Amino acid sequence: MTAATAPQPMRRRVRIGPLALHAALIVGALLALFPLLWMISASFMPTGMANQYPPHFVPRHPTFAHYREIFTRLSMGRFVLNSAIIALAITGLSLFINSAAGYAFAKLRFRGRDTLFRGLMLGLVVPVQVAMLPLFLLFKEMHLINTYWGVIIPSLASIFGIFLIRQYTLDIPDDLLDAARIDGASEFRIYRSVVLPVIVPILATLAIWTFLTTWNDFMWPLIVLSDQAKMTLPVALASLAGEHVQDTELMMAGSVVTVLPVLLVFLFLQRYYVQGIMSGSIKG
Amino acid sequence: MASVQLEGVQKIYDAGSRAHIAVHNIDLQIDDGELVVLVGPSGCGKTTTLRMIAGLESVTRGTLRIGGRVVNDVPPKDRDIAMVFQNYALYPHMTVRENMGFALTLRHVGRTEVDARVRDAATILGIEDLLDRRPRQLSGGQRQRVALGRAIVRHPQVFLFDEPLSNLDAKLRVQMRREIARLHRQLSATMVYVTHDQVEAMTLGNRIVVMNTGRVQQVGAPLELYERPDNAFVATFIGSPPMNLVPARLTRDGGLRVVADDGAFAVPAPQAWAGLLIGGAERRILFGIRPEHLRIDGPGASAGVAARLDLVEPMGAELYLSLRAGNHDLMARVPPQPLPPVGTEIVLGMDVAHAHCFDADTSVRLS
Repeated sequence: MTAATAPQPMRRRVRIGPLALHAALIVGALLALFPLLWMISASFMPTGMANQYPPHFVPRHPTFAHYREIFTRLSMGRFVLNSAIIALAITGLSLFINSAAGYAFAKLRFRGRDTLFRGLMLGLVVPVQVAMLPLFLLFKEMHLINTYWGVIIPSLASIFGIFLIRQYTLDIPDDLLDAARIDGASEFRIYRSVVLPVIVPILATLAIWTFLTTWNDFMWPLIVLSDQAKMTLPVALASLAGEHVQDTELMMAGSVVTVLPVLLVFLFLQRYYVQGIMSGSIKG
Repeated sequence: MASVQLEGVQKIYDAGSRAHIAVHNIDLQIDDGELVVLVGPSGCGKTTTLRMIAGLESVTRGTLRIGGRVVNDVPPKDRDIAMVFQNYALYPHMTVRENMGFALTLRHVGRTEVDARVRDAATILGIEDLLDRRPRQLSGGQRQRVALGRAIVRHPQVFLFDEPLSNLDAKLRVQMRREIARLHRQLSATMVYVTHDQVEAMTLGNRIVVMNTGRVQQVGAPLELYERPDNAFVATFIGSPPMNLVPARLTRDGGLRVVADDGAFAVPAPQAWAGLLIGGAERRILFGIRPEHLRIDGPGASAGVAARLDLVEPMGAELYLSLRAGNHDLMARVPPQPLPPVGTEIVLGMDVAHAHCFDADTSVRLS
């Protein structure tokens, strides 16, 4: 008798478990997505509608007026371009520098390698903000204030990026590099033709991460770039918010323009991103 | 093709205050077109030696010549060698064709010639159909073929193999072993082959170099090593199941005899061993006899060794018997025959004419 009754609660548990889990996930997803969806929705509302009570969730007469305005009167196009130049330059250059350094720390034998790496790891605990003032003074001496380079240079090498690449590259068998050495490849050629193609997943992960952080970066561009024509999107958006604090719909249109490229990059590369996150556990 | 010459070659790893000697003074001449196998247990220095020949490890002391040229300080790419690795080491993002042609592309060989040489090598190895696949789409055996192909297209002076068959299953290993032997005949190339598997060493090598703890134990043709091992290490390493070694006394007491140290058995020694007893009536030795030189005698046999039968392993064409005589484990290889049940005492006959005698202290061959 016990044998006949025992499976029943088991079966019920199995059915309720996933259901509750999915319900919780859906609620969580809605909570997380709601502000994003409302931002998009509000950006199409005519002026004033977003602040009405009771609130509207969908624009009754969608309008592109705010988008027109931010690109014409507020020259948002310029800021998009600034952000794009800076984020792409940093992403491209830092991928090269971090991957080369990570590879060297993982696979090349040189004196002081491990000591140097430990030193870098220690550097991880220093908050970025601590370095901002000295860096600003240094850049002022070097006449890098109010230039794109002033924003780009501090982000070119990242300890986190080097660490990430190093850990991933450690898994490449030494024999593969030795085979290339015997085949006649120079050290740089090995890096370019053997190592880089093999670490594409982690490069994609790092590319997304770098692009996201530099695109969203607010503090340092705010400090370095004083000329309005050189401002990045987040900085410009913040200064818009000051001037147009009442104009919620306009601000939402500006926010959509700011967030959209990041979302696109993520959607485009997310396959690699997930692969990159998983990589450590699978490759072991 | 070329010869390879090692003169007093030594490898010392400098690990802080303690230096670790991985390879002691190796002197070795590998002739043009010869296939030499370096064999030994793991950590014996065989792979380090191979990697020194390849240029992947520096030579701490001594001289290394390839084709008469001193190459101690020549980088791997300029040594004109090709190497096949245990884990294949194929470039995962390249097709088979690109893998095989990579070395030639780096040397700016024209595309048509690269294509032709890749095709030739693929034909030799029977992998023409795989040229456009990537390594992950290949089986282990196919990957190893591609790795061989990558070496062949180079037309190198010397082929180096670093345990190339260790990752394959038993059946494939036998097949690839024959393939490598065939390649050696076909290309008449100089090859240096590293393995820990003495069967591979015996079947492939023109000559075998047995190594242990960074030292060369013996160099010789396969059967030479089998029949006249220089020391107890070579005696037990070459041959499967390994040679039986029993600490014993060689004595004149009651005729020239070998008496096991615990008195478990006494057998007449070959007359040739009499010369070993100069300056004494007896001498401590390691008495060695191969499993195939033991047989089961009838109960009435005179010069037998009483032993307990512990285990019978039927191999088909023969039986492996594990036996216990006194404190000593012995292994016998006999033709299939009816046997008494496990656990009973039997009488073993020893074909002492084929026995080996090693020094008890130095393990060096005496007979």
